[in-house]
Amino acid sequence: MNKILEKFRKMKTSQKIEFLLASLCTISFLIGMPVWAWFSGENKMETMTKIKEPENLDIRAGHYHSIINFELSDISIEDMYDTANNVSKPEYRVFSVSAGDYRIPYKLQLAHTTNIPFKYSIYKATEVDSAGTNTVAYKPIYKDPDDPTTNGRNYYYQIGEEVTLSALNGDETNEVYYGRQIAKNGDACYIKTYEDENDEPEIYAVPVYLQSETITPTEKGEEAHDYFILKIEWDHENSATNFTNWNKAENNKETDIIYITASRSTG
Amino acid sequence: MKKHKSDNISAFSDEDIRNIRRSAIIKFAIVCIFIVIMIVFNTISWFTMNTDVKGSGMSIAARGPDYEILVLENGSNGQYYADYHRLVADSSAVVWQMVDANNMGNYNDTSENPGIKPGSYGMVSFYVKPLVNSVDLSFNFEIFGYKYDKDAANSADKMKLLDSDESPAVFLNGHILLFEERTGTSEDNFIYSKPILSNKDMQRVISQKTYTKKANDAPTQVDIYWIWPTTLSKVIDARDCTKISVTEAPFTNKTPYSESSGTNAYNEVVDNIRTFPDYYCKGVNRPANTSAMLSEATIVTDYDKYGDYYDQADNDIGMGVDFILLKLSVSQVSSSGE
Repeated sequence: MNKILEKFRKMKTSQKIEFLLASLCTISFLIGMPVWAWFSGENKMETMTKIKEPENLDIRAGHYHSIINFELSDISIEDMYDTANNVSKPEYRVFSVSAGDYRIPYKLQLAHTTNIPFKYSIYKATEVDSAGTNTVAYKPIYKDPDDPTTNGRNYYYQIGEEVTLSALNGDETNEVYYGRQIAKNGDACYIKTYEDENDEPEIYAVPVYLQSETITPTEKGEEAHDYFILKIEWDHENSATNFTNWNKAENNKETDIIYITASRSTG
Repeated sequence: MKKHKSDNISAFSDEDIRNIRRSAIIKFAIVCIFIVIMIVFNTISWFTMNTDVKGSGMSIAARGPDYEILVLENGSNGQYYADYHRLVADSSAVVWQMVDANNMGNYNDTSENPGIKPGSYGMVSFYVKPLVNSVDLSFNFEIFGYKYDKDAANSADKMKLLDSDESPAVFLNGHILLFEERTGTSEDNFIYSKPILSNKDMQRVISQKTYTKKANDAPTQVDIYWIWPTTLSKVIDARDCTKISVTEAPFTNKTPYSESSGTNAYNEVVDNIRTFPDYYCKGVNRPANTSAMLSEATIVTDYDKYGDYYDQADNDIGMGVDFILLKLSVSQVSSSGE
């Protein structure tokens, strides 16, 4: 380096100018080449955006297990009311709703036929570590071969506030008489479903449609689910009024169909 | 030594000295010209690369011999997904900056989870500034689909370019539509015209558009309207379907562009659906020839089926594509004047 500096010092002024200009020219040339290449090829522009995932609403069983674990067929009507001690023994079932990554507000909808004088209600729930006061146990019935830790164990849920369900077609005026709310005969829901005049469904086979207010999904991170408990009660008090024989409940007597759905809500 | 050297110099004739001086002047002039050229280039390149040039509110995005393409400048906040874009960015392309009122669901504001989904719509803009009296330009839009793998070991593998011939990326051709014109005031009454539709090469081309120089070199604004239709019935009139009830009218304009042409935006899109049903509907193959093409009447009659195929394709995009890249390439066809 010193040698080069020494040589530079020994140069005449004109040679120094020539040397500096040549160096500048070379450096500019080196910088200029890629700039020129970029510049001459420049005729494109681009922008990137994200595709949102489909806004799924999933209903699953307790602990976000497969819905196959949400089982109602094992309810024993005969055991739901202790007549001797006059104590109601409701049945509880846990289910969960996932509103996906985008946390879409939704409404819960419950539709059921009314053969059995059951009362249905839904409560919010939170998963807890162990059994306690006002907790409900959920035990998956399906043995998951990929996750043996779930087999045979109980999960516990604390019962929270009740989710208010409004009936779209409930016959409220005759609720006491029938011992439960049955569907209105001939209202807008009825006409839309059974518009053919030859349709004459038995009134207990006409579903009652119930809907909750808008529920805002819980913010708990990516894997968050909302837990709910379906409470099924034997409406002993009212059904005793006009249908006394029904107090002697029999498991083989009747069947009801229940649908629980979650519907995206815009308001 | 000194004397020897002096003797050598004195041996030059006057003519030789003049030649040496002339030669030095020429060399010096050449060097000066080079320096001027380099100063000019470096200045232009600085200006072109700099997206923060203040004053005009625009920055140059692309430049050809007789034109400049400019975009609204928005500094470094113009693109929400810049970090993902950097993983796949074309080094020869300029980042198309977005602004609040003018973006593709990717403006970097405070809103959470920007992005697009069926029903999303908007506008992206750029400006053309002819440097001569008149220039004809062609615009080529392409949309690429990417799947993001957050667990990939190195950043080069995080963004996987999806095969544009296959599901789900192939559906981007028919589900994210571009139009040159839009009328109406809101989502409920927007009517779209002049579709820029995907051809067999999956390119969307505006083949030749003339721009003339304006007073004070004012640039011409070009708006491109994009929309992801919620249902197939937004682009094909399925209200006559008797199998299911369709009440929505298409958003494409059925009025002919001119009395002589008879072509309209609605028919252009329907023809594209018939020619490339694989862009729109999952599980429907592209017809081998014209006679094998689905008729509009068939699609309407069986809308319960084709509408569902469209929705299934939407779902495939949502599940299989994480990011899309909209690329605009500009090329000059011809020019005139100075």
